[in-house]
Amino acid sequence: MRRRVVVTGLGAVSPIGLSVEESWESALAGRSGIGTIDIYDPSPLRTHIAGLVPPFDVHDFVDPQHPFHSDNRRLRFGLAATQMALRDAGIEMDRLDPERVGIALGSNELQFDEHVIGGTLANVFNGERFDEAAWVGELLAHESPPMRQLLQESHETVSYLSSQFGTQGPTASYLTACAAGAQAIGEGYRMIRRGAADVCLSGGTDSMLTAFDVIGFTNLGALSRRNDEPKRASRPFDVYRDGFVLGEGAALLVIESLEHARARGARIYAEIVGYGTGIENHHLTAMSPDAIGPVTAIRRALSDAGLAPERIGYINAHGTSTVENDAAETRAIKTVLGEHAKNIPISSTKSMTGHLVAAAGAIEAAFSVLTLRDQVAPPTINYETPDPECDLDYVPNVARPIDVEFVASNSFGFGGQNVTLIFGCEPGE
Amino acid sequence: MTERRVVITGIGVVSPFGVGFGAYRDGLLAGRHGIRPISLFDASKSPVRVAAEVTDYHDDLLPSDPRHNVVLSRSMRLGLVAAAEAVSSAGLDDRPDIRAGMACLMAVERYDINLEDFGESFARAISADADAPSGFSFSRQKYLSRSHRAAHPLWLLKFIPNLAVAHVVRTFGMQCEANAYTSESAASLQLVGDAAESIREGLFDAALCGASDSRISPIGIERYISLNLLATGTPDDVSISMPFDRNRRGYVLGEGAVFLVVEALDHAERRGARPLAEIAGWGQASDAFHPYRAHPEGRGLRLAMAKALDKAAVAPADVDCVAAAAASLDDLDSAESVALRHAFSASNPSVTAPAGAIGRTHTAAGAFGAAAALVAIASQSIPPTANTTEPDADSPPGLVTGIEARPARVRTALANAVSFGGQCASVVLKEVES
Repeated sequence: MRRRVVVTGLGAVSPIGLSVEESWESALAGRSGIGTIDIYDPSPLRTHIAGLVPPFDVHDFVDPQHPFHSDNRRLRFGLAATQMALRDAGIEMDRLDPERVGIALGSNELQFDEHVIGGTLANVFNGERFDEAAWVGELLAHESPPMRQLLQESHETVSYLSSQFGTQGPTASYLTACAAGAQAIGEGYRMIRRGAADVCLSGGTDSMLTAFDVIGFTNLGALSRRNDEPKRASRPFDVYRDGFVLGEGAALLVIESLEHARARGARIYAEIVGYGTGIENHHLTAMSPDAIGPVTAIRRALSDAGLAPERIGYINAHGTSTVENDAAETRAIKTVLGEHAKNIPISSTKSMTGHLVAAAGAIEAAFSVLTLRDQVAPPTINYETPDPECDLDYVPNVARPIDVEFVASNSFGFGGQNVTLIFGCEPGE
Repeated sequence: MTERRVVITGIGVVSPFGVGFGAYRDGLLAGRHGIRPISLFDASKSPVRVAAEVTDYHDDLLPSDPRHNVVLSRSMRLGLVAAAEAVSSAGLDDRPDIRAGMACLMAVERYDINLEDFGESFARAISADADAPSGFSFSRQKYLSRSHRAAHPLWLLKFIPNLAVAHVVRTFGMQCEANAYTSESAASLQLVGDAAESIREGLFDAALCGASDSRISPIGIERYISLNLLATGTPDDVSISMPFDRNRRGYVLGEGAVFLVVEALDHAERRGARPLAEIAGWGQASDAFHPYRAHPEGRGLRLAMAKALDKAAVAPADVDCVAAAAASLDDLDSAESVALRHAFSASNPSVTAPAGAIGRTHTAAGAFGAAAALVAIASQSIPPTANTTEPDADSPPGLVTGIEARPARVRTALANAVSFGGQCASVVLKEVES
């Protein structure tokens, strides 16, 4: 028999708040977290703006004596969000069976520092070519601290979390780009449903804001260049959208079997009722005209949940603010939901947070859960001029009270891996 | 209700022994190793001079659209070739209908900046500077504003890990589920268990599961040297990958790819496919100990093995062969020795560690272990652990060394994987009686 899986704790740091509640309050107030990049000089780049997490002290969340120190942004965000989620769930790890606690984390690939690469290469240059053999020595002489080195490995964030919080159950990271956070929650849900764990810390953490990252996405034509109006730059579904805005942050959900949650008397936010994925193999980077990947993801999630499309009362959209995504997502929603698509509120909280990449699906899952709790849909801000290609109800600019039993959250990955999660209200007796 | 049985019906391997599962099988059984002086970059001034490189790969082997070659990293290329062999060996070349319904789960790796892709762009931002010790300095301003354009504009596509999966699903016309994992070495065994669970639940009937990894590059080497994880030596020191050996002094970088076709037995039987082995059990766990050191008692691996054996309903005494994760690392090999002694306290299975032959292949290591277990089942003999001549006092008593495979009745084999960072996975494979 399938075990039921519920959400009992939420934690987050995002460009619009240093906790889930603060981020949610900002989202409902329609506050943008986008500004000019201030962690390095972005002026040589074409895009200067991003959603940055405000400074905070990680030692508010983890023991300063803990040996595994790092200034790595993904790790700091992940540690903070995980600790907040555990506190929110009322969990003290030493009271759980550590072998029954897993972690499923959306994560991302390594990052490069152009100073290190360029600086070491300059030292092995002779005016014409590089002495590749000497480059290894230069890199070694640069003496980057081993822990910083190690965190270049995409699986290491999860190793840190597992070491820090003492979880001995299954642990994995998922690297499905923009879908990773949602995919991790979906895989965590399966982990519990299948009995491989009773509790899973699931979500995502990411910071993809280095100059290299900005250049890489700029080359793909994906980023907004509205540098002079950062707060108006992320404008999903608006006809004048010109690309997505990179964001950073982390969101972790404590999910557990309904049985386990009830046995410990936990407060239950919501139930995870459906998880579906769909492949887009039409083109490496572009969506097919019929958006088959997103359509498949939404359909499979509905089928997993055993729900008719009419039961969905709100969709937290992937809504990146690229010309292509928002139109394709609109088509996909209409394909699966038919006439019902016109009747339900759909919003993109990326209009306020920017695109948290591997953490996007996780913070949007947290917002979806809070939509159920508070019966209110967050707005899509900067929605000013409708696009004929995007003709649904995007909850423009102002949050709206709604009456909702089931919500869906879409996360569509670059590279064609698409995920939909469906959450339902707290299960009855 | 009886659970749906899950089997392996296809395998593809690209290893330091060459392209093809046959080359891997023959190399392991002959007790050879694939470690040579590094050729993928100029390592002449590096403390690490050898690696287990794939030497006979060439782009003509690629099954994918040649227009995409420019955005394929080496790891993606090795993976595509292994995936093609797996699809073919499962008899699915002419079955686009079945492939469309298959999932693709893949363990993916990082990609590093290298001179081939980025040398020209950096050179354009480096100019003579009398004040710099080397006589040249790098201008960040120049690089970020202009010089970067000398690199291929789509370079990001080599770095985004799940693009490896995108190439596979696109090449083979798969439309079901896809996922990209990393838990370093454990990932490629974790996903085999996850695929089996999903098949049992009826989410799909078959999946292409695998991993590819290639990180033999200046930055890759530097990272593991700085963590004191790699064995150093001269170009002649090619026998330094010695799992469980008391003289081990670090691991050797390996590269390669493995794909398995994982399929419901009922589905395989209906289409007349011959199973290579049954996936009888799987388990995952974590050390929860340290970001890159193994728990001294092998806590995570003990739990992973116990879960896998329990799921398979196999008693420890019935395990005939273990494909160990040991990779010539001081702490990891010891931890696995302790874990194996604990799990098999009353029995003495034969143990082989494929990393002796092919080095540590990182995200692909778990899948290479599963492939070694398949070799043992298919050949009814245990491949020796290459290069290990003086087993540590605490090493598993059943460790097979030397240069000859040990004939044995192999009905059940266990494959282990342990990541830097303590993620552990085990899979139990069983012979399928015809």
